[in-house]
Amino acid sequence: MLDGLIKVPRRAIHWKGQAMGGLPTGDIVKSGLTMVPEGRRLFPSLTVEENLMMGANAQRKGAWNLARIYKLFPILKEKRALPSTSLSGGQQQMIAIGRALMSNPDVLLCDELSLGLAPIVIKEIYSAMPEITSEGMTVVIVEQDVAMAKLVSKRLYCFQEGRVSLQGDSHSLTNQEISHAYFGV
Amino acid sequence: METLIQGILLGGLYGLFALGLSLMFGVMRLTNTAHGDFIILGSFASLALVSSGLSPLQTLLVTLPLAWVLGYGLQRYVLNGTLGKDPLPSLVVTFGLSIVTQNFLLEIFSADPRAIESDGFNTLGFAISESISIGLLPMLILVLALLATFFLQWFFKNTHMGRAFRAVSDDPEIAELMGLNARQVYASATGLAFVLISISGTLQGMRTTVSPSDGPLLLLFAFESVIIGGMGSFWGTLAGAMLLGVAQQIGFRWDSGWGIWCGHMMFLIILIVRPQGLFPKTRD
Amino acid sequence: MVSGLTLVLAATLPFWGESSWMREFVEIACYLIFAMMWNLLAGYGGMVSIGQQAFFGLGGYVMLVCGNFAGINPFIAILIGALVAGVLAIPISWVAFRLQGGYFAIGTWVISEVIRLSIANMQWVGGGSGTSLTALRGIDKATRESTTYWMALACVVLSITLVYVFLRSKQGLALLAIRDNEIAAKSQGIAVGRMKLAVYVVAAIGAGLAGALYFVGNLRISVNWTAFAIFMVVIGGIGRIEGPIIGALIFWALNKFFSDYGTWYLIGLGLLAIFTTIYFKQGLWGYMQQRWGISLFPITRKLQYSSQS
Repeated sequence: MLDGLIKVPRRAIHWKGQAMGGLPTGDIVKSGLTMVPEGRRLFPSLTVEENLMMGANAQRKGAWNLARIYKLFPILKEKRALPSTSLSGGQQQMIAIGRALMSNPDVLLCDELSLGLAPIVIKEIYSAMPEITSEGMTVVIVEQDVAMAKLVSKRLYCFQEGRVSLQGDSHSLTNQEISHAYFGV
Repeated sequence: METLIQGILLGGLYGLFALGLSLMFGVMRLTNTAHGDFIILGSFASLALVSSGLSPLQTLLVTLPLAWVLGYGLQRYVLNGTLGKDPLPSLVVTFGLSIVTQNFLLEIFSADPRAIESDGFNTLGFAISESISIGLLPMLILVLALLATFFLQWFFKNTHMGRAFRAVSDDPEIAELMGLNARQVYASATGLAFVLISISGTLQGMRTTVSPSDGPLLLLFAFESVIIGGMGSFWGTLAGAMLLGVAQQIGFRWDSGWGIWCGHMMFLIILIVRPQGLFPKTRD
Repeated sequence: MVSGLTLVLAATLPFWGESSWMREFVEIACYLIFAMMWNLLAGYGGMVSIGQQAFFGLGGYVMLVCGNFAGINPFIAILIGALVAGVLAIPISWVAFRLQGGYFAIGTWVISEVIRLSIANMQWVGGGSGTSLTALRGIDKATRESTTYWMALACVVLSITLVYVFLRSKQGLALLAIRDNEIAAKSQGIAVGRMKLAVYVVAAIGAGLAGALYFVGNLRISVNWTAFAIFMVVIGGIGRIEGPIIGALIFWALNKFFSDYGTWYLIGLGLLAIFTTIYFKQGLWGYMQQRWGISLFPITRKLQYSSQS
């Protein structure tokens, strides 16, 4: 919805003071909002490096470039000429994140980063977050692992049936409050 | 031996036919049933231009840009609307285009077979041994086919547009997320395919006579080349085309009525024995 | 109800109608059966075939061989022709099913070309298209015409009934499931491969039926059968039974009035097919059904939501 992949009325979504609903995806990305899609959705016909380069297609200026992504995820540099989908799940997630970063967004949406990944890999990926947000980029994470979400974020929003049922500082919300918001119990 | 050489040379032309088809299918899963008819359209366009004084190769200066525009426009405004999970709309629309094109040509040029005059170029040849001589035109066609295949392979791998082609063919939605406009990328792909079609058409008209209803058979040759060679690889398509050419030549030697049938047989045999083709490039 | 009355009326035609009407009907019958089967294959089975004319031809030739050389009653020969077409569809499917979607379509075309070339080069069946049915020569014209007419009528009724019953059955539902999502259907235990084969065979039988009928009626229309089937189904409406019927009638009418215009007529047809596919995806009958909700042969099921707050 936010990225134009599902069409909504224009006034339904506001961003940087403008109504943005239903705009073409390309325009939305060009104005600084992009996402790491659920399930990674890399381009199998492209190599690791080509996937990353695709991310820069929107040509937004910023701190993120190929060199910096390789510094953040060194393993990608090592495997950069390989077909992207031949890497492990965690590494593919890194590519997906790197690809999104290449468009130098102001806001980055991450959809279910931990899906299908082992806990140790999840930790490795989330440990890159501080570096990612270091220049002030806002990252919105959709995450089912509540503990992980609390750990890496500053603010927490719980959604129930499309509505915000709870919000607050990640550190001050208790697990009880969250369970209540999540399950209505 | 001569049959083999003739077959390979013929395969060069079939390869040019097939590259455009392979390109369109590879990028957008579109099967253009009018592919052969557009080749013939190209032949007749060259024919018409030659009669106004241009040499056959000069006509390409006119037809190639026109072909790009036609392909781009057709994809952008007609065919893009037919893309999707269901293969029927694109098949019906391209089938309709096939009928319209054939009858349009029939109306203007009548059903008589014609050839593009090339001042005898198409009869020039050189001998490579006592009994075997190779025509200059077929050689030129083969060289062009090799160049075209090499170009497409390079283009897909090393250019931004080539990467865009691969990306939209993998995942049009996420390609949009990268800021690519899938509709325009598709249109460019068809534009490029039509340039290849246009070259093939001119060469076909120089090599032999053409008539308005020749199209469908050329489509079958292009299609068979792609399947024999294996999908996903341009070199594979060229190889498939050559194999088809050889099979047909063998058939012609045996009995002139069975040449094309032999080519069909080769196709069917490959389809039964190795359905993924001889040199497929698998993608996840 | 309406169909029942029409049928009774139609059956009595030979007694009060002109003989040219009967010939026209046989022609329409051929179009209709062929289109209906193509519709079944493409609209319901999701398999677009450009090679159905192979079965049409096979049905016809087998019928001719039975009638001319084996002395079998032509009307029984029609059924034999249809069945043989169906049987031959099985090995043909082994080859054709290796392809999908658009390439399947062209593949069927190649196969039909191979069959056509093979038969054309075999002298004993009469080579090209010159053969006609000799077995009927002895019977007087009126009887021959009315019997042919009744045979055509029977074939039409048979085809429509067959398709209708099939689509309303459990197999028909399975077919729709496959068309919508093959993988999901497989996971539900539906034997996708067998279903597709079944539909392909049924479509072949129908095409063969039309072909045999064509030769019995001694029709001499030079037709690109598949092109016209596509036209009939697209204009009339894909995936509905009434669609091909309407399409066949429209097509027959257009043919009567415009075929003299030769190439322009065909150009017009082509453009009409393109236009309809892009703007009227459901075809004429589909459009009418959407607007006025009529259905002669109801097979679509409607999901009813029980009102809940």
